[in-house]
Amino acid sequence: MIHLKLVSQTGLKFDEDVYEVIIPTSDGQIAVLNDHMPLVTSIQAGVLLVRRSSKDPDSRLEMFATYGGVVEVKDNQLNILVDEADHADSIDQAQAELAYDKALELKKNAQDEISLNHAQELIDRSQIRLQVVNLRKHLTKK
Amino acid sequence: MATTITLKRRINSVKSIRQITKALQLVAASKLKRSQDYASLSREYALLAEKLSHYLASLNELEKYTYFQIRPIKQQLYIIISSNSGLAGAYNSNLIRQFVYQLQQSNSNNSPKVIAIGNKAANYCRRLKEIDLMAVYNDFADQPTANDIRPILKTVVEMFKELQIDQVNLIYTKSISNINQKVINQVILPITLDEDDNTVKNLSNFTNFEPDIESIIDEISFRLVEANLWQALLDSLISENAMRMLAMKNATDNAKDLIDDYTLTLNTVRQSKITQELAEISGGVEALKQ
Repeated sequence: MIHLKLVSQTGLKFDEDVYEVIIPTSDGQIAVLNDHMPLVTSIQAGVLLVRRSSKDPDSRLEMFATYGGVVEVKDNQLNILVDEADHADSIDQAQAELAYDKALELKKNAQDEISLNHAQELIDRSQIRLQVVNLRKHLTKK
Repeated sequence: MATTITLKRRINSVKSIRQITKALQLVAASKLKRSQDYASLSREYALLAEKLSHYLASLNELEKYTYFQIRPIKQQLYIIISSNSGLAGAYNSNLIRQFVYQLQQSNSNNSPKVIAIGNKAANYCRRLKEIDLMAVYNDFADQPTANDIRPILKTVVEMFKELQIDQVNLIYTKSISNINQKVINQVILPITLDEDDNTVKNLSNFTNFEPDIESIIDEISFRLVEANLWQALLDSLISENAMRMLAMKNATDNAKDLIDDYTLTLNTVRQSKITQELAEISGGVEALKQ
């Protein structure tokens, strides 16, 4: 078992012993299990998956949409510092789609570079949220 | 001596002022509680960022990375966190006093750049000619999100990396307790780390950094600055609400004293009037008897 601590600026999102954590790093996805070597790496916007016990099927994975951060692995302690982590259950598909459309609209109407960057950020975020929603659908169907 | 009618009017107006200050006091008290709860959520983040900084502290030749370079200060940037509205006691004037003090201390010839959070600091800086007011942010909610400060953070870090600015000072109010708030001047860039900590020695020797050490240093440093700025913003919010609550409490108490004073004067005036009338009547009766 490895202890996962997932922290964002709005608080502690996850703090439990787990079997496996799959992290979207800048070098691609990595899975962190028990006795992983000490590692510090950066996380990219993407989907973070947590498997509580080795027998859990994929449909019982905990899913988080994350948007960049830092990962530290040391002595079976996994600390993840992220901008924000939204649990799959807290994401509503209709709302996420609406937000995506709104963000696209914003980008179309963006006048200067700052608002363009802002809109692009919103687009990226809602894309990941949608990705999480779809992944959850896909996994629970099986 | 004032007439009874003006005294009554005065009492009434002070009473309605007291109602307003009392309401503001209650509002500030509930906001204070909320902002304290909100700030406690992000403590975990600050702790972890601090822990990650130990990796950096254990590295050699940290000075070669831009985040840690201490350069001669040619161009300085101040970030001032003030409030949008007044009636918060000395909250804003304390900040401005500290800011002016810092300006007097600096011996750079270039006019300092300023990013103002809150209208009060912005209005002050607009009046000073020798200041380059870069940006004003006055639309933060009671519970700001990390996204609100990101534009500030990005601008500041980018400018620092491109050597446009040599030092970034953050001036904000730290809440030590509900009745004690202190203005802090903190240098957030370049980053200074506690290197005396012996437990962190060699930490980085046994750790893999992926993809490479440079990008990790970049990432962690960015988080550190972010955590500092975020914590300062939340602390300022707590301080503002605490100081507003105290100021309004004092105003309410003062209003009560004023009402007591006026009521006493009113009664004296009324009584002396009655006494005078009685004296006149008895004087009249005496005159009639004769």
